[in-house]
Amino acid sequence: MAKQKSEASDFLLPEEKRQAKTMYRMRAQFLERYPHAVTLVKGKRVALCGESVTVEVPGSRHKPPEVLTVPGATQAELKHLLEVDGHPMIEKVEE
Amino acid sequence: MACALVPLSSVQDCVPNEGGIVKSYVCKLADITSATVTTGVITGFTMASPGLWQEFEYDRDATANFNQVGSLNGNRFTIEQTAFLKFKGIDAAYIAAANNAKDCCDIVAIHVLSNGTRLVQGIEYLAATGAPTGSNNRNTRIVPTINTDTAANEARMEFTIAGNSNTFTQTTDLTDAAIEAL
Repeated sequence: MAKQKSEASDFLLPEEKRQAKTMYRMRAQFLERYPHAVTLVKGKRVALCGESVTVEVPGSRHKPPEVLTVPGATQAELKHLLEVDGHPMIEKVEE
Repeated sequence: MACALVPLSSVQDCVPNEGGIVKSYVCKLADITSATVTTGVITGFTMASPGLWQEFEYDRDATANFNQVGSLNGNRFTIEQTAFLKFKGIDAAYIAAANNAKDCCDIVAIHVLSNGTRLVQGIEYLAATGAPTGSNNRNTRIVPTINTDTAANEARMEFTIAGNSNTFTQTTDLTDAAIEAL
């Protein structure tokens, strides 16, 4: 009788198989409506979508136009926004 | 908000009492997607995109002010909130700014008081973090006036930022740098 090919997960304990990866992300309905949303986390400007956002800001009498690039929020920053600030636009998901 | 009374003493509390406002930041209400509130103070804003707060640096000649006047109509309490800002001189840029500002239907302003306190005009009091709502009874809008006045006085543009709310404005602890970083 041929041996069945083993999967790597066959060697994991049941509790290890059940461990899911926790992710923090912007809720879909807000991501669709505000794809460039930004906020401050500990004084640092971040984009809630988790990816870098670039926008052009028009100039004025006092300052020239500029292109602003905002880094995406890291998982730690999104976690802070949800669990410390209670941010309504962030959710925690298990993958 | 429920009825609650607390003891007050301006003698013992000695709250800084310098009048007037010195600077303001404004944006459209629609630009704010959420406000973070910690023990009644707005500690952060989430903006629809970066660079939306605009700074108003007006004349420092003891004319700028922000007043909130409560009134009762029968048993109905409302608050008329009015800020007055003056910009000396008149030119094409000011006229363009006035024409554009008058068309904004719902704005939010952060006024920096002479005593350092920062008041947020244009949104009802937020008890917890969430999306802010504009002044409930009448939208907060900018009403520009452009006066040449006479040769004995100065030509000027004046902005009146007016709205009518059910609650007094909240404070924010955001610094100039934080607001400008949003």
